Order: sequence, then structure tokens, then C-alpha cells
Amino acid sequence: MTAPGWRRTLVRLRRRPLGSAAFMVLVFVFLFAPLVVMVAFSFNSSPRLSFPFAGVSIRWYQEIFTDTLVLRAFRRSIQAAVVTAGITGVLGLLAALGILKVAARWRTVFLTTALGPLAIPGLLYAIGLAVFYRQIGVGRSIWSANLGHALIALPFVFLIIGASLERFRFGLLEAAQDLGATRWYAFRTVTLPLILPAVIGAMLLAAAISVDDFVIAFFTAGQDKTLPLVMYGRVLKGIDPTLNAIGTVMLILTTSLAFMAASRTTIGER
Amino acid sequence: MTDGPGQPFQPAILLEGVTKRFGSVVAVDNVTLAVEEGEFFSLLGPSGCGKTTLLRMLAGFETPDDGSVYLRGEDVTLVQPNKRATNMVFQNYELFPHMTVFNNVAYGLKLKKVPKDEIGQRVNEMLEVVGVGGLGARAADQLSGGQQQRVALARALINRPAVLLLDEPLSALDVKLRKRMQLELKSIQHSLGTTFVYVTHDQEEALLMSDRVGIMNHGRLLQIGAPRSIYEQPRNEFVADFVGTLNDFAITVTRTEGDLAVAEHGDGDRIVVMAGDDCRAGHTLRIAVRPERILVTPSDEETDSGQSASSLSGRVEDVIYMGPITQYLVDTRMLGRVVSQRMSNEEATLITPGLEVAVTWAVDAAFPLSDRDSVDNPTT
Repeated sequence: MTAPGWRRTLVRLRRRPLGSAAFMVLVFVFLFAPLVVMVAFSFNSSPRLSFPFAGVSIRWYQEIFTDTLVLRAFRRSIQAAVVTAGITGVLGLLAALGILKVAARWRTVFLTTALGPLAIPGLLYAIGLAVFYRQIGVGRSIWSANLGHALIALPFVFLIIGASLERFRFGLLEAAQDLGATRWYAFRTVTLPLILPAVIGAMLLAAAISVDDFVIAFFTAGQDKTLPLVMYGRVLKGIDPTLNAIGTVMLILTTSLAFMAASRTTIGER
Repeated sequence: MTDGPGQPFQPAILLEGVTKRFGSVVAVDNVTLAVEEGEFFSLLGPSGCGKTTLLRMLAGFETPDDGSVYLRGEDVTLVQPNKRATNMVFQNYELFPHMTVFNNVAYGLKLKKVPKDEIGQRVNEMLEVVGVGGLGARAADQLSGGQQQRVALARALINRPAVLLLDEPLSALDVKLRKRMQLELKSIQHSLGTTFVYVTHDQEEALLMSDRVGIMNHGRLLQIGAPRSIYEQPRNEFVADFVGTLNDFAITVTRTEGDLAVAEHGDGDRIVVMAGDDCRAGHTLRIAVRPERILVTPSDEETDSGQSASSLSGRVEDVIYMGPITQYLVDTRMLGRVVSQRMSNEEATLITPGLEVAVTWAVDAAFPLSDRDSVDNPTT
């Protein structure tokens, strides 16, 4: 799907003067150099973060995978991702189905309200949540952070599932009903299988948002530090080579989640 | 859903004074109709005439605002679609795209908890009946239009419905395939003996396939009858016009001869029609004549039409060749343009634009028309 566009870009580039091609390269270097450097140094055997490489090793990985603090944070991040995906998957599906029943003139109001949070900085949510939790007497923990993650991921999930329902042919449900199906049976055998790719894609995206989050967790997770919080703690003490290894693991985790989400929501559609 | 034969004295479908409104629009207006067991019944009308709404009320997707719907004598007015012994073939088929052909057709049987062996056997049999045997493993979204149509038919028929409802099922197919499917549908209906209620806007299709046709306009059922009676004895102008092409004229009676009314004009032009006893000279009558009943002959030729036939003189405006038939537009002195349709044969080539001709038709070719939307009282 991307291949033809990609090739077209290449062909077009070939027709351009050399200057613009060089500019493109610079942009890509700017975009990816930090990541390349991080991944490269995670395999550097010397603790010094400078060239030339002393040698290739996986000692930093061995170190982080035996560090209980990192492992616990890693587990918390995974837990947060799974819980966020679960909560937003269910709520997003229900919301997307529910809005279909709302009268057309109210729908815009609902949509704007539901999607509004997309435009609000995460920091405001984080502060608001911290204040709110304190007011209602909820302590800071990974569960508090989970709820916050669900909050910021829900609009995306709602949007993706809603878009797939917009293409759904509701005549199919009439056909199922005509053949004797109850509404619930028709939903299970027709609606759900047809929108499932979008639902899973949306949940993967929610998981990626959760893994990636720093701000919400910083304000609400308290002592239950997620991976980004642990990394932040280490950065304060100076750049440590294990950071590169943790960073590389997170890079693989988030990009593969995002990639899976993208392929589900685009290839999955009919 | 019921399998066995209905009680013999109960019609398969009985509608009593059914009305359906959408906001201020009356989609179906006080329709009363009985469809017999095993009948092929068509609802014919222009788009927006209420025929699809009527069908959807039979299926249970719409609830009438007034009146009752009976299925084999049982009042189903408020019964949900999944509890009715009707099945529907939708206009765009609505096959489940994520299932195989087999699972599409088996959907209804699985719901009825039919044993697995029996499902397999019945599905394969039904696929054979509708002419897509061997396609069971194919994904439903990998079928041609004609195949989808057949699978949709199989998926509905396999449930052995009391009535099969078909909502313009052939409208998405190309002309050639449509013609073939019309005959096939008819023969499938005949061999299974299932009651069909068929919605269409194509008058030719309705006449060709149906035992009886009901013509609808503006939500009302205007006339019900066998194809021949609908075509040859339409009771009002709308029916006459919608079912086939039509010449319609207003004539002023100049004299009467027994039960014949005669309107004369100039020298030799006259129209003769059957009229009621109360018809007097000076009355205005609206009459209609089918183009294929009108004969066009060169003026210099002797016509053997007797005194009882209508005869007008005129000049040929245009000759339109349409393959098996040719259409003549004749400008007559008495009535203006008259359209005639004849078989395209050797004789037909003698008539060319500009030629002076005589336009004639027999007395029984003309029928009187009532007002455009007047409602027929269904007696059946």
C-alpha cells in the first residue's frame, strides 16, 4: 500500500535538483539520528557515551533484565497498556454504538464533547486528575494512572471504532433478523466480526498511548513507577548506558504496537 | 417458522386497511389485500409509491400505524421480523461478507438448531436449486452480481418461509442476466410452490412473472388483477399509463348508435367507442388505446375496416425503428399525435415520414378511463 507512493516519491526526487534531495536527507537525519544513536549506544560495551565504540555487547540489556526496579516498572507499563486497551475497547465500542441511536441534531454535540479532549494538553488532564483524586480520597497508584491513560486514549478509540461503524451496512442486521436472529445474536455474528479489526486496532493504539505516557503517570502513579518514570529518574542522575537499552526496548514495543494498530485499521477494512 | 401447509381456507397474506405514515407523508394508505397460498404476486409502481414500505411491513421491519397484517390467518401486525414465517431477498442482497456462501445460506438453519448433517444436506440441495451448486466454500464477497442474487435467494428459501418477500431483487443485474433470472425465478417459484410477493417498478417484469399484479401509486393500491386484465382493462389513467405505453384522448360525442358512441370530425374522421346507456351527444369521454392496436396504412390504400372502426387521417411525423417493433408517430387532424407500434416487417418499410396515412383501430381496442388516481375496490 505504501510501496507505490514510496516509489513515486523516489521517482519524483530523481527529477529534482540535488539540493532538495540533500535537504530531504537532512530532515531524515534530524528525525531519526537520536533514535539511531540511542540504539547504537545500547550495544556499546563501554559505559562512556562517546565514539569510537569500544566494542559490541549486550551487557546493558543483561543489566536491565536483572534489575528488579526496571523489571517491575516494565511489568507496570505492560499492565497499564493492557488495562487501558481493555477499558477503552469496551467503552469506545459502546460509545460508538450508542451514538448511532442519538438523534442527528444531538449527535454533533455528543461528538464534539467526546472528541474535545483530543485538543486538550495531557498536562492539564494530569493536573486535573491529581487534584480530583486528592479531593475524592483516591491515593496515587498504578491504577490511578491506568484510569488516566484510559481517559486520554478513549477519544482515539471512539473515533476509530466510530469510523468503521460509519462504513458498516446496517442492512446486514436486517437480513440477520429476517433469518431469525435476535438483536444480540445478530450483533455477535455479524456486527462484531465485521468491526473487530478496527476494535483491535484501536485497542493497540490505546496500549501504545499508555506505554508512551509520562505526564499522567508522573502526576498520578506515585511510587508505582512506569518505565518512562524510571527512565526520568535515571536521567536526573546523569545519562546512564542502561537508559539506551530501556529506550530501545520501549522503541520496539511502541512502534510495533503502533504498526500493528495501523495495519489492523487500514488493511482490516473492507 | 412454520413448515407445514397452512389451513386451506386462509390466504397466505391478508392486509386489512393497512396505513403507514412517515411524519406527514402517508407512505401506505389504507391498503387491503389478500395473497393466496402458492401465488406469485407482484407489487408494481413507481419509486416512492409505497411498495417497499408495504413489503417491509409484511417482513416486520415496519409497524403499521393502522390496520392489521395476517400471515396464514395469524395476526402478525406486532410480531418482530425474527419471529415471522417470512423471509426476504433484499435489493442489494445483504449477504454477510465475512462468511462463506455455505455459512450465509446455513445462517437461518443454525438459528433453528437444525442438526449439522441436515444443514449440510439442505444447504447443498438449495444451492443446486438456485444454480450455484459447488460455490459453497466461496467467500460471499467474491461472487458476481448474478451469483450473489442466487445465494440471497437460497439463504431466504432454505428456511421454507410461508411467504418469500423479494424487494426489486433483479434491479442491480444487467439486462441479459435479468431476463434470464426472471424466467428462473418463476420456475423456482413454480417448482417449490412457495408464495412470492415481488416488488418491482418494471412493468414488463411484473406482467411476465406474476399470477397477479397490484399497481400502487401515492401509497394506494389502485388495481389488482391478472397481468392480462391489468394491461387490457386498466381501470384508471395511471394504471393504463404505467403498464405500457398509451394514447389517451378526450373526445366529444356527436351521436350514439345503440351502445356505441361516435365522435365525428371533418370529412370522414371518426372515433367509435363502447359507451354506457347514459351517454348522450355532447358528452366528453376520456378514452385510451394501446399503440400496438393501432394500424397505420397509406391513405391511397383501401382499408377493410367497417363502419364500426375508428378511422383518422393524418401525416407521418416520424418512424422509429426499435428492432422487433417499429413505432410510428402520426399527426392526425382530429386528435393530434397518435403513437402506433407494429411488428417490423416488410409492410412497415412502406410507411415513411411525410406520408399521408389512415390511422384505424377496432372498437374493442379503445377503453374508457376514469380519473388518474381513483382507487379500485379490491374484491379479491
